[in-house]
Amino acid sequence: MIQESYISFDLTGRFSRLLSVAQHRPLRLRRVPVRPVVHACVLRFSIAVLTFFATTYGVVACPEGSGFAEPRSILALYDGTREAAPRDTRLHRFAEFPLSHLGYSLEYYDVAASLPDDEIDARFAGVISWFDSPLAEASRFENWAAHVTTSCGGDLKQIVFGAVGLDLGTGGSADARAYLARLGLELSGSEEILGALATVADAAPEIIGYETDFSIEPGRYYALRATGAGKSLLRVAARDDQSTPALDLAVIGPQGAYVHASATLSYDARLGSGFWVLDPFAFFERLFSHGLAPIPDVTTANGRRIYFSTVSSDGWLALRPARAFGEEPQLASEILRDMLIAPFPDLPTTVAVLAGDLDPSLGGPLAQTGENVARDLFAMPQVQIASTGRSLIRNWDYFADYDREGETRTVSALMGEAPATEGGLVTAAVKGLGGAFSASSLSVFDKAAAAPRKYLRDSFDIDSEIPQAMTAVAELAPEGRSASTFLWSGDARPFEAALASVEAGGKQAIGGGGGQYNVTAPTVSMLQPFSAPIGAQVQVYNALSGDHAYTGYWTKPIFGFHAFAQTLDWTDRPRRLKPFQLAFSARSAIDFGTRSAIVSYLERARTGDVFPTTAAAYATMVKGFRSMQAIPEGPNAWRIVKAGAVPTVRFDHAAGLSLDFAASSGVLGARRHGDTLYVSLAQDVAEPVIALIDDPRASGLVVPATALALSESRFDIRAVQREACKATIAASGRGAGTMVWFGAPNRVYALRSVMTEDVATVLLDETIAADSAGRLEFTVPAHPGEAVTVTLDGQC
Amino acid sequence: MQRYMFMLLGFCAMAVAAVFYLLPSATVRFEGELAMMAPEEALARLNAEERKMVFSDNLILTHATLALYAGDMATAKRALNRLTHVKTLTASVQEDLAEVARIEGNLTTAIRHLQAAYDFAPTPELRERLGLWHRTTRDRAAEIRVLQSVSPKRLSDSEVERLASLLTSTRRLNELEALYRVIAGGETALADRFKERLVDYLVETGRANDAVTAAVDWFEAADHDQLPLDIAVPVLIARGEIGSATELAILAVQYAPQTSHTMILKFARSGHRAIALDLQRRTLSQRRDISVAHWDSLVEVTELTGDLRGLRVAMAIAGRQAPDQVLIAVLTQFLRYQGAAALTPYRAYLTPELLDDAPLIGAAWSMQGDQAGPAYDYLLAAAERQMIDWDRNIWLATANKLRGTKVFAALLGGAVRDPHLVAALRREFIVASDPAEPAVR
Repeated sequence: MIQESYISFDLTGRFSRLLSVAQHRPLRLRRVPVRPVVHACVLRFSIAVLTFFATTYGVVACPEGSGFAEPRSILALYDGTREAAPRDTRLHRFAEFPLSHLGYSLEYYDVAASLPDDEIDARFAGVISWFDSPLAEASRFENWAAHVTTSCGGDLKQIVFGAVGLDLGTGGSADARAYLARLGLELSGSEEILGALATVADAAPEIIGYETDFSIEPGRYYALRATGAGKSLLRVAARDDQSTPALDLAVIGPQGAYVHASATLSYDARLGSGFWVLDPFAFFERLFSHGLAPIPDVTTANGRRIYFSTVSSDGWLALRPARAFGEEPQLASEILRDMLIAPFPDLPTTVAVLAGDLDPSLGGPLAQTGENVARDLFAMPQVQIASTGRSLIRNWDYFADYDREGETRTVSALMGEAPATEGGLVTAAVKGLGGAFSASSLSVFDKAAAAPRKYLRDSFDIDSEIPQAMTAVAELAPEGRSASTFLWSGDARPFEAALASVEAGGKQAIGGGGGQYNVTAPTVSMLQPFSAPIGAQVQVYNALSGDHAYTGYWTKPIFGFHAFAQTLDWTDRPRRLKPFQLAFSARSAIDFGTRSAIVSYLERARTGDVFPTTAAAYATMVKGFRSMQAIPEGPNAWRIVKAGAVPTVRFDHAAGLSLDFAASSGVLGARRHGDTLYVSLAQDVAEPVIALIDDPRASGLVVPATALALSESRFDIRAVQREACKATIAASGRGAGTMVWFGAPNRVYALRSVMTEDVATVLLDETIAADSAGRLEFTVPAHPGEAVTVTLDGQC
Repeated sequence: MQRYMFMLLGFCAMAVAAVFYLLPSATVRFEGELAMMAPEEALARLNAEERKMVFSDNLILTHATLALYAGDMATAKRALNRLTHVKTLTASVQEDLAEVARIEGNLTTAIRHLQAAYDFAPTPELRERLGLWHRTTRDRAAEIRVLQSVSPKRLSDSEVERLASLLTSTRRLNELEALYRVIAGGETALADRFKERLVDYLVETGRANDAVTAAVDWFEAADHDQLPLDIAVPVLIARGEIGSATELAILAVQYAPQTSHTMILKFARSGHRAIALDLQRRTLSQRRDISVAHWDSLVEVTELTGDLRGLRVAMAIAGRQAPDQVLIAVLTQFLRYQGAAALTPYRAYLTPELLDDAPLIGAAWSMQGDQAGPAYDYLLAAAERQMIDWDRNIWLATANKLRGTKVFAALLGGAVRDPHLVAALRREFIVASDPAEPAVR
């Protein structure tokens, strides 16, 4: 007798996942029959596998069962013959950011290599593609696209941006028509021509015309029209006299959506990017019927916008010319230390140095001064130690498959020298490069600006470049401190082994990505996603672009970094899209224009409504974004699992809702920002439960009279021990730490704050009365150490 | 002596006068002091002295620059506005004022200043920035104005595309047509695309004759290079202007005989088979040799129309010069449409080498001569090649003719590995022979 078991485990699926990670093959869960003869062993094994699965990929049951997580992964299909890797795809560059803002995580799949299974994992909420031409294996693809479903048979949305991936010139097969029907489309006829007289017959104004007006691109179009089940968002006709049938260029259908390329982004070479024609946020929200659901958020912690700062080593040894005769010229790093780091002990800053710059045999006579500055900086408690490597890689792809002699030839060619061919190629070439070396250093950038790295005396070696460089810079720090972060240099396109090298050392890395958003870069398309998948690794991107992007790499306008303030504003309201990352280079300390802009942003961070943290902490938050799952636990209640270091979950369009603190657990509190409710998660609780209640109060918090809930804190809240009317808060931070809590209205609380390591040092000892809404605001004074213990006691 | 004394005194007086004359003015001295200060300090001094002394233009510019660098936009703006009268500085001052406004987030004001800078010194860089800023504010008329401030030939390709898009969406069709004509007649990368658009636009507005005239003009200007006609003909066909398209195609046959076979394909592929065959006839009537590309066209036209006449004429003209791969493609068409018997006129071409390269032809031709053994060998060889369904049918039909021979059993016994053929053999011959099934003869 064969029993059908619907336990969702599959060793094959797991194994194939491990083997095919590089191909981004999605995990498939199959139904497996269990024979009674072997069921004892198999069952035990399957429970182990299931447990492993549940911990690795989260809970994988189906919606009708308990423990079903809200699907928040999207299978991102790309054609590897047209777009080389996930990070080079239109999907990654443009669609991933708005999708991730809405809480979705993209998993990339190259359909040119193979097709996914017909039944994909239930964690997928949708499948998205952005092809620019028919696929080579179009017939296989249309068959797959017409039949794909999830292992739970759930509501899988198929989203097509650009080309459908098929050649519909011959009318399309039955599969092709079934695929189109899912998108809400039918093909009537083969092609139609839209010329200069074509006209927009209808457009949904809430979706179309977001950042730029829609323009019809003259040319031939497949005769695609919305079916009865499809809702057209954009309809065009060859003439405005209704003599020709209309075509639909954007449609939301029963199981997906279609948007013609001309209705996605309108590329403008003057901008170097595209303006969104359709509103990606509104579009995806409507498509996924985006109801109330927790969204992992890495922009906000403890109710405040996350702030962190990174300083790259570029220009560490650059000299500021003397202004007067006899004046000692100063290094950029010295000015950095004296004017941008030391005066801001309350702001954590991740400072990266290049190990090669500090090696006198590479960096030259200024290396020793540069090293002294690094030692000074790394002794400052607010500085986190980081490295940009040893030889300053400018082009990471070049080193993925390194060839020493090829590098020598490349650099020789860049310098206009004939490649050496005899007598030891490397030696001869390095000797030949002598003319390139400046008097003070072995940098080849002086003579070969496009060289793949700055110091090429030694062969490239990943260990030397990453772990050894991090060890070398950490040796400059006082005992007990280590390097926490690697900042990607140059094009910031690390290959998988480079990312793995950082990961193996238990460190974090950040770089690349970023973006700006302001009056002259007025498009969301210029904001990059939070991270990129590189093989089995994840590259955490910069949250925002820094000084180089605003100053044309310190050319023009040198004062341009002042425009960064707009990006900070635009990425905070009406939606908080990104945290506040202040990224700049050591060389910006020299230029008055960039330096003064940086000072203004440091002041803004010091006085603003932000939560200062470190780049490494931010990187761990971003990694948690991909794994977090929310499991419904009743109406407006969710259990959050695998959140990792994600500090906050967010609820959009939640103006009428508040956190029901009594019904929740493992949360610190909540705060409103516009119509969004940010719920702060406790760091020491593995699976917090969030419950919301219909209540539009301004605080966003419904707190029992005997409880205390956090609204906002500049300090990091590590743990809260609660008793009736009392909370003992373990916190850490630098400078003055403002906190806002909500307790019983008008109750008087005893407030006491001491240094955790030295309880005799009392920072605060007073009484404080909650206002009529229960609001308690106080500031823990600046203190020399990090950890403090704050007690609020309402004595009930 | 007295004279020398006077001379000495004179020199001294002149020296003193020179010293006084050469003494720097207060503002110049001030500038010198500023140059030795840290910029923060220099800006503070300038702010302090602003109301106490009259600044020279140079000092005002220094003040503006330092304030701009410091992010003190109000001071920078005030100082820059004091320099707007200096003609030599107009462009840069207006550009800086635009930057101030941009950084303040006031794009409307930024545009006004940038326009002033552009009016004074119209550079491509300023034009691009100004055009983009107008797009950002969605002021299409202003963006068109900027893009039309120079000849279209001086615009970048992306600017031309943008201008065309703007003129289209604002229905400024006369200007659009003029733009199409200028760019289509030029030599930029956009020329061909704009030729296509102009033809389409002329047809769309009921002027197919003008479209033909334009295409002929380009054709003649290009010394009868067929490319302009290759661009125009598909547009005319797609718009239903078959007569005009045919007119141009005949022109191609007449003046560009080496390449005109591509025209035939355009008609054949769009379903205008009669015209295609007529053009093919015209083309072949002028040919004494046939290129490989022309052979490929002939094969494709045959495949689309089923009409073998073109291939027959071509074989008569140049069959002997055709390479084997061409012959195989040609003979395959004869085999497909008319069976092995149609190969008989071409038996001279059916050399062992050719048949080895085309085993399906070999199998069919062998069976035509009742040679079961070679036919069997060729069938096995053909089964190892890529085949379309049509070829598989020919393969099966040839195999069917082997019924009753010894080798037929071997075929059914698993000598063939191709899964499609195995399935077909089973379906056609084995299942059909199953006594439980109705007898199939």
